[in-house]
Amino acid sequence: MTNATVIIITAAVKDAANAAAKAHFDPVGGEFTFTNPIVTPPDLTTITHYWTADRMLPANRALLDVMAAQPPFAGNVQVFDYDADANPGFPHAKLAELGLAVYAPPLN
Amino acid sequence: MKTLLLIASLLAGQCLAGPFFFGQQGAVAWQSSPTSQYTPVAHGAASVKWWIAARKESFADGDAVATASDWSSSAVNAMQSTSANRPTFKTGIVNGNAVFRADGVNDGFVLASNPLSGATAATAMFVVKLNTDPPGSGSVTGPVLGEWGTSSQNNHFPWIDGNIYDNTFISSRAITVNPSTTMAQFNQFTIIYSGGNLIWRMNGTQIASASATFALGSTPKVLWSNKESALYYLAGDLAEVVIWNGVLSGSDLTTEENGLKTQYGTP
Repeated sequence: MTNATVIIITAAVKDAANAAAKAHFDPVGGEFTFTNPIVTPPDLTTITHYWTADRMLPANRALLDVMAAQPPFAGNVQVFDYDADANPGFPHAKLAELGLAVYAPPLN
Repeated sequence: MKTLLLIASLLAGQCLAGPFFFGQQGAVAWQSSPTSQYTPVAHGAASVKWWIAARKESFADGDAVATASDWSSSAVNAMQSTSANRPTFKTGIVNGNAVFRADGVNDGFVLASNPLSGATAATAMFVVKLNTDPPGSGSVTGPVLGEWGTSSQNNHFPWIDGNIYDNTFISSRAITVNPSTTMAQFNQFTIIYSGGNLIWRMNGTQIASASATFALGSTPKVLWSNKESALYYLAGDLAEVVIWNGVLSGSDLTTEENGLKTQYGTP
């Protein structure tokens, strides 16, 4: 079993989330944690969210819950745990369940 | 015999625990393997210029992989500095061999330079399995070898229509092919650039070719691509990649493809 966590943030807190990731979770490359854009269909061009998936230390996972409940993240962060071995398709399935989609320009 | 060795290792207290940075419990890192391990070799002027192989790494099951070693003389390792973006190491996945597992969300590697710099032809082989084929509309997968060419377009492995759209080693996307064999199993792929043509082979059989112009990108990626202001990530398991700076053909090509086939038990 590989415990993993999907984190989806609104675009409004992108800078704050990347700063928090670098300050509290990943001092080396944390500033690039939330760089993958998400759209809200049927609008396929406006970036509304960003997301990441990670394996987290229990202490970091607990800290994430604390931070997600505080400003500026309260109401702007969604967190979902899953077993990456048993259910590798969970991230994209959850995204679809939430009515979101990965930003992907039409094939040209 | 392997079981006895494993037990002996455990009794000797040699359980290999991975770094706990990612919160994974220590796991015994072992894997069964074929009697003779595959090792790619040079063929004439075609030297092995890049080679990553999960089976040659010593991480523990579940570890996040910051560096996949380049086992060629180029020593251009595949790196990932952002912890959340690191592929996961999984042991005993294909014919007893380990893999780099990519989640399709943000996992992938970057190279600091192109180990093929100066080359005028290339041959690449890799063994990979996708989670799904074709991917769902919300999970458009990225390539195994992203931005190894100079195309301004992404390459897809595959797009949601099931087609591989490829521009590896070339200046613009040239290949479009939907393999008849599912990519949701471990397969061995070969990409050859030779004399103005890009050729794709799957499990020892040619599946596509097209006219193309050789052109090497400066910052190659593995398991993802970032062109057209969008990021595409592969969701699946990558076992091994080997790249030569020349054309492999005839018995040389067959020898290397069969070596990977034996190692991984691919079709």
